[in-house]
This record gives sequence, C-alpha cells and structure tokens, in this order.
Amino acid sequence: MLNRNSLEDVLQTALRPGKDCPAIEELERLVSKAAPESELSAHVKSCPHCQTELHLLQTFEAGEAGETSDEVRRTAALLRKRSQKIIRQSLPAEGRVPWWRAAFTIRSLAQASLAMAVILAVAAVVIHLRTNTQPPSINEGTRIGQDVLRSGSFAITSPVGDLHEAPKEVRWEKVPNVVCYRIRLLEVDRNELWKADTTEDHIQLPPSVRSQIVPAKTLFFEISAFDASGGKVGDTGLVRFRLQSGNGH
Amino acid sequence: MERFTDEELVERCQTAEGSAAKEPFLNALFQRHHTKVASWCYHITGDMNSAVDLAQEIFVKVFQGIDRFRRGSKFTTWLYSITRNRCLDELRAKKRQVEEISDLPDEIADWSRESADSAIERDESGKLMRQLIRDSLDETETKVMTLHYVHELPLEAVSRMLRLTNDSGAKAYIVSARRKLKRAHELWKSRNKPAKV
Repeated sequence: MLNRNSLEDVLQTALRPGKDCPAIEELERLVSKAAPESELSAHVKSCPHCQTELHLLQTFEAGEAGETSDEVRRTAALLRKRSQKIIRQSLPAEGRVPWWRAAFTIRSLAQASLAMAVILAVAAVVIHLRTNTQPPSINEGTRIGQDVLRSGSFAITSPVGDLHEAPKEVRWEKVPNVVCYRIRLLEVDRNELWKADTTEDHIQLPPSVRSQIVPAKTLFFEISAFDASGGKVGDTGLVRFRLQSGNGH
Repeated sequence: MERFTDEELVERCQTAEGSAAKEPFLNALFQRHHTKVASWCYHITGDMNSAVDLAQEIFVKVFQGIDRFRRGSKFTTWLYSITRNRCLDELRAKKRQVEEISDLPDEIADWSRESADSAIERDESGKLMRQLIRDSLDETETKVMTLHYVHELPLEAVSRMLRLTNDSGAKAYIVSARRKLKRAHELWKSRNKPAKV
C-alpha cells in the first residue's frame, strides 16, 4: 500500500532549502547582476529550491513589465483607491497634524495666526532683552554627561559577521546614562524572532533562540538604548551575522 | 519624486519628521509598487477582493516597519519578502493544504514502500530524489513540485503563480514529473542492483 506521508517527506526533503541555500538578498544580487558568475550562480543552477525562489523574485520584480491580466489590473485599481487609507493607517498617531499647524492651514485663520505669531515673537525678544542683564553662564543649558547619541552610535561587539559556532551571548558597547537596552533578533525580512530587555551590556541567548540560529541563515541583531525617562538615546542599527555552512551548534 | 530611487525615498521617509512629511515618500513608493503586490496577491488568492485586503495589509506592514529597513538592501527585495511570507501565511491559515494530492496516480509507490522511517535514511532518500529531480525534470516541473510540496501551495495557486495556461495547469506537471521520477528511479535501481553472489 502506498505510504503517502513517506513519499511527501522524501519530496519535501529533496526540494526544501539546504544549508548552502543563500538568503533572498543574495539571490537578489543575481537578479540585478550585481554578483559575478560565481559559486552562487553554480549553486542556483543545481538547486531546485533556489531556482524556484529566483523565478518568483524575478516575477515579482518584473511587475507591470510582466504579463498583466484584466483581473490584476482591476485588483491594482481597487488597491489604488485605498492608497490614502493605507498610508494614514501606517503613520503613527502622534504624527498627525497638530492643532497649531491646522490653524495655519485653514485659509481664514492663516493670516491672523501668522500675524499673532509675529507679535508674540517680537514681544518675547523685547522681554528677553530687558530682563537679561546678567551675562549668561557658560554651563547654562549644558547637561554634562547627558550626551544624546546619534542613531547607530554604539556597536555590537559580538556576534558579528560569519561565525564558526552559534553564539551563546550578545555583547555591545556600554552607553553612559542608559538604564535599559532592548535586544532584537531579526530575519532578513525583518521578521522578529526574539526580543529581550536588560540593564547589562551583554545578554545570554536562551536555547530556544540558539536553536533558530542555523547554518547559512543570515540574521540580524539590533539593540536600542533607553534612558531613565524611557527615551531612546541610540541604537546599533541592524548588525548582520551568519553561522557558516557545515557548523552545528 | 521620480528622480529618487526606492532606497532614497525610504531614507528620506526615515529622516522626515512627522506624518505630513513622511506621506509623500510613502505615496511615491506605493504608486511605484502597488501593481506588483496586487498581482502577487491576486495570483495567490485567485480572488480580487481577498487580494486587495491582503495587499492592503502588506503595505501597512511595510510602511509601519519602514524605519527598520536596512541601508544597503534593495527595497523591492524587502517588499518581496514581506509579500511572499504574508501570502504564504494566508494560505496556511486557510488550511488549504496538499489536498489535491489524493487525486494523483501512484506512479512512484515503490519509492514510498522503500522509504525507511529513520531520519538518516529519509535524508539519504532525499538526496537521491534531489539528484533525480535535477537530472529528470524540466524547470517548470521543478518549480511546480517545489511550490506544491515545500510551500504547500494548492495546485490552482501554483498554476496562477507560474502563469500556466494548459488545461489541467499545475496538476499536469505534477503527474508528468512523478512519471519521470518513477522511470528515473527504476533506472537507478537497475544500475545499482547488488550483484548476486
């Protein structure tokens, strides 16, 4: 009797991605001809899974240049009608137009608002000049040791780049006045695999996370630093690493 | 906006302050790529209304995560990854698994009987099957088999994804591929028969 599960298992084993299969970003370099004829193209030629992935990516990239049926055109037209809704839904609520900006956008109020703003600005300058008799202190307004870090201004020290074994922990540069670090492990499509918070400048990776770090799979760590008020003072940006093919845990 | 590349639009959106400033950049990205996403969603679902809902979700996810886009990557590759993954999730959620398989003839039944249960032997069988696929199947058959058996796409979705225009669509390619694999497997067995002592 036919054992369908065995047959499907064998077919799945044969066709699913192997350890040598590159990430989609590397396949993309083949599509855009950014990668020279190399091991990568040789691999793709012999790998059923990568051939399929490459074909799908090319079909997607071709977009309108490819075959477009009436149904696709109508689907796109329906989607276009929702464009404003989609964009509004995507933008953060705090970014919506504040009342004072709205006042400037209503025509009848715009001129009055502008005139009032000019009067208030002049009044503020006059008051400041009249009351400010003392020379300003050199340190006034300077919060020593409270430097605000630019985004991406501290670094992950490990893991970084190609690795021989799965990392057991993540380490990064300590940032002054930071009370909490948020660590995120992401896939190439930015899908979040794991997230944790710590007050230290390192964190152990739990076994469940280490098991997801498999050979030839490109992953990213991203760490954000927060001060006591909960404000973000810096982040590392996405830092790539990958367990080399042929390495276990 | 037309003079900017996708990646420049993303970068300007990331650095723009407030929704009003970000909106034109997101709008430009949407206008450039909505047909690509609509096309994919339609080919996966086969239904315009479901496709529009799915595409809307994808764009919201992409735009909400735009600050996480990494410089040095290509925007369309990132958009593709999210579109592909969301579409596959949608199909899995509908639990439209490989039900069509029961309609197919049992060309390679022998293989199944011989397949051992242990993971190691299954892995060896997988390697042999991979070799036979490489040697025996054409490109379309290989893609159909991969989409159906690995990504578990229903055959009708595979037909739409690969724009197959023949009457039976992907099913014909699966039947043909399995026949070829049966022949290739028999040939391999005859060549590798242990010599009688």
